[in-house]
Amino acid sequence: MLLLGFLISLALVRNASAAQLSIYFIYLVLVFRAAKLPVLRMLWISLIVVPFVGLFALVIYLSGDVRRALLILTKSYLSALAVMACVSSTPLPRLVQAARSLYMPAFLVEVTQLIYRYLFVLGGEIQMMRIAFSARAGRPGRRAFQSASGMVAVLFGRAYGKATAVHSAMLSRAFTGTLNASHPSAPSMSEFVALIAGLSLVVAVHFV
Amino acid sequence: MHIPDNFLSPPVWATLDCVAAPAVAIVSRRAQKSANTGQLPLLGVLGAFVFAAQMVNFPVGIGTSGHLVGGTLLACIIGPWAAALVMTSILVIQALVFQDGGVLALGANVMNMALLGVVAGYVPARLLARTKWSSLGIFGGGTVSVLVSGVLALTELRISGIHMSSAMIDLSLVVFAVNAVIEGAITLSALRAIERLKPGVSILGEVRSPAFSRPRKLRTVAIAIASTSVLIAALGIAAGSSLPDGLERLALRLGIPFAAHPIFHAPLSDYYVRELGLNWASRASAGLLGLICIYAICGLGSHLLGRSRRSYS
Repeated sequence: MLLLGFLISLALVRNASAAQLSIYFIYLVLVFRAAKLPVLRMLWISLIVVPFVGLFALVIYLSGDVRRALLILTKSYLSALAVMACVSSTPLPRLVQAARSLYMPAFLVEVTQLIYRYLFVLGGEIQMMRIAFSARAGRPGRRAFQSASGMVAVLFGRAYGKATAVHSAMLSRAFTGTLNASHPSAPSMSEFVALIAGLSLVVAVHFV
Repeated sequence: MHIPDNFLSPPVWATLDCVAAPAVAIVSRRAQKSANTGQLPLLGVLGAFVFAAQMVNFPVGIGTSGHLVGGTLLACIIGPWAAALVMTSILVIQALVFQDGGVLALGANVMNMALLGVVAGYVPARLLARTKWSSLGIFGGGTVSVLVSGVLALTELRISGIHMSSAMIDLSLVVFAVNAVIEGAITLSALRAIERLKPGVSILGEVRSPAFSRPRKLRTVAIAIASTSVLIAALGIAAGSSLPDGLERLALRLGIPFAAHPIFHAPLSDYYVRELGLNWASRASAGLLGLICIYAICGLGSHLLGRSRRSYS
């Protein structure tokens, strides 16, 4: 909820001043410190959004609207920082509980969990296949294109087999069609205070 | 094209979020109804497969490579509802974990890529399945899917007030077109390779009316017509002539002031949304709004007509 409140507050600040953007930034740095996350590393990783956003900012800059270009760049970076803060400091089961409490469709949440669970497994397999491809496929061309298609097909075969094995394992563990999830626990006093303080701050920034 | 946060204006992202939320709920319900217990792990692992497959670089020549997006490929394997659900899940993970696309802009990205993009990719493949042009259908599906997603994203950015010159728009459309063709080729190639490895995996072979001479289902035809009209309204404008039509030319020749004193100022007069200026996006938006009005009126009319017929029976 705090993440959504922060993002909505940031999006609704039209002509944000340097002071307002600084408040957002300092708040996020404090969140990183409170969650014991490496601040500089988080700031560095969040720069991943800059290349794509920077391209559009450049277009806007070249059209003459310098302020808007800088604003888009800064606000996009702050949004990325906020998402990074939330995802890095919240365990996946709590994120799933949060999704359910926000009335996301349960089937969607379950599929998303499984995708997240297996994407690193299949990601590792495709990395090995890419190395083999680079070692054997040779020059770019029609053959390389066909080889890449074959790689995708083999990956699909492995994924399909893995899905069958996963299903069998789940059935042997009394899987009834839905993934059981613990009920969302009530927020502790410190979490509640942090939520209220955070929401108050993102509202108060608009009056700076 | 994943739209980040703070690009779309608040009315645009809020509207798209409000539209995407119930749409995803409907898609999720339909996917769940059509799935058995074994489908849940399959959908999850196939979603991970799409993620991993996007890391495969397909050399397309001139020192460049493309990669699979995967919406059409998924739709051909697990059906459009499940594919839309899986693509929605992928977009959620990309937004939260990989910072690819915004959280508030998730509604827009879901509408562009997971819902409309998947449907636009599935329709041609399904329509041409079990014909001698099935490969063309799959290729066309992959192409249309990326094209629709890209054009929608561009339109949303324009409506949000992101200023782009005509040259920039044209360049973007060219890039989308090239990416679309690459996606079509990769989708066709990957699906054929998968079918060689695992025959019968594609649901395109499970058409209920196998003989091509049998009449197509009304819903399939309606979807095809709707999709084609949306594409023409959105893209045909760009190719349309700006010269006066026959009646306007006659009026000019006879010296008749054709539209000097209109009695009533229609909101979309001359097929422009005035608030967006006099450009392609304005005309495309007017065309699409007109289509929506027509469909709404026809849908309401047919519903009322059906009710009156049933009451007489």
